[in-house]
Amino acid sequence: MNGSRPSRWKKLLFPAFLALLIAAGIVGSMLATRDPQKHVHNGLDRLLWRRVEAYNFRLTDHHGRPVELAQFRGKVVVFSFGFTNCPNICPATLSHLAAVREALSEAERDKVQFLFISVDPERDTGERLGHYVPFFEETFLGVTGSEQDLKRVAYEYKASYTREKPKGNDPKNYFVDHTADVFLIGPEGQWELSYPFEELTKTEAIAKDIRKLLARIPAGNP
Amino acid sequence: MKLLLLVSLVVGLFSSSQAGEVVLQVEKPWIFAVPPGAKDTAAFMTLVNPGTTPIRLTGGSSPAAGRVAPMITTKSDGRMGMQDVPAIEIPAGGRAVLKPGGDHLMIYDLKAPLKSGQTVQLTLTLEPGGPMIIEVPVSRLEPK
Repeated sequence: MNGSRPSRWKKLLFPAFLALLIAAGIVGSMLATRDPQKHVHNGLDRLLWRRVEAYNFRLTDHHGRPVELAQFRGKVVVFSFGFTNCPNICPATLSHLAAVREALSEAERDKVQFLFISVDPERDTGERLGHYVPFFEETFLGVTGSEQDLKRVAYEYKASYTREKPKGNDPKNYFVDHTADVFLIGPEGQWELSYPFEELTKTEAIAKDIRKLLARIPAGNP
Repeated sequence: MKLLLLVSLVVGLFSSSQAGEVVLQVEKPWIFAVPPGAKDTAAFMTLVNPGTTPIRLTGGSSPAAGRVAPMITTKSDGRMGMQDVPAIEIPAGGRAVLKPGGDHLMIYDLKAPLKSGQTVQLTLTLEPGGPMIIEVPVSRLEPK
């Protein structure tokens, strides 16, 4: 009796250790799911890791209709900042994004909304945005808002913009320096990542990221 | 193919008029197709300088636009802006790549909207070298 005790404890030690390991694993993974910053295994492991609740901006689209990010819940949203008098960065960004959309299947395209947020509301009226943005892809939506709203959107996405001094005598002839990243919002309204401008030529890689996010939409979701 | 031929022809004319001293090769030039109503656009190309003297691209002109001027793109912390420069230099034995999001030639005050597929005449002003005329296709994305 006395001699068998230690050996029974020894027999129990290993299963107990195993159980502890499993429990730790479960708790750990629960914690990781609860804290999205630590949850690094969703496949989108490139570039700037964000995955935080995306700021729900409320702006106006190029048809003059109110638009907010939350209305696209269940879809992937891809957006960039810019202005229509931008001769270099913005047309490149929009052309690249049009190519990304083209790389998606018909069914996938229906679940992705591309937005161009103008940070030049003084010149970029709805009419002007309506001429400019759909030129690159007819489903792209131009949006803008008050200076105050736009500053807030930029701030929330760690972006920024500044109006340059006008060129020559025309006060309406100016450039706007702006963040050239493209922002990717997942179907649950999470800010997934940002693509630096230089990455935008990687059409297939971006399309692949979008597909990964679309795969998270529960089946049967319209 | 047609384009390459045209460019080499222009270069040939150019170099012969300059007693073979200054030669500049222009590869894959293109201009952004921008929406109707857009006043400005930009031209891109790779400039190859096989010679032993640096060449400066100080600007140019085009019958399609009011003004053509070199510009560089500045970037800090994901933010991009543009800055006028007196010239873009093509180093001796080197090249200058003009591309979206980088250095480019600004095409100001378009006289008519440019459509994808059309061709625009562009005169580059080079120092040394003088004017060099090229034909540039209009495209939405960099031609493959």
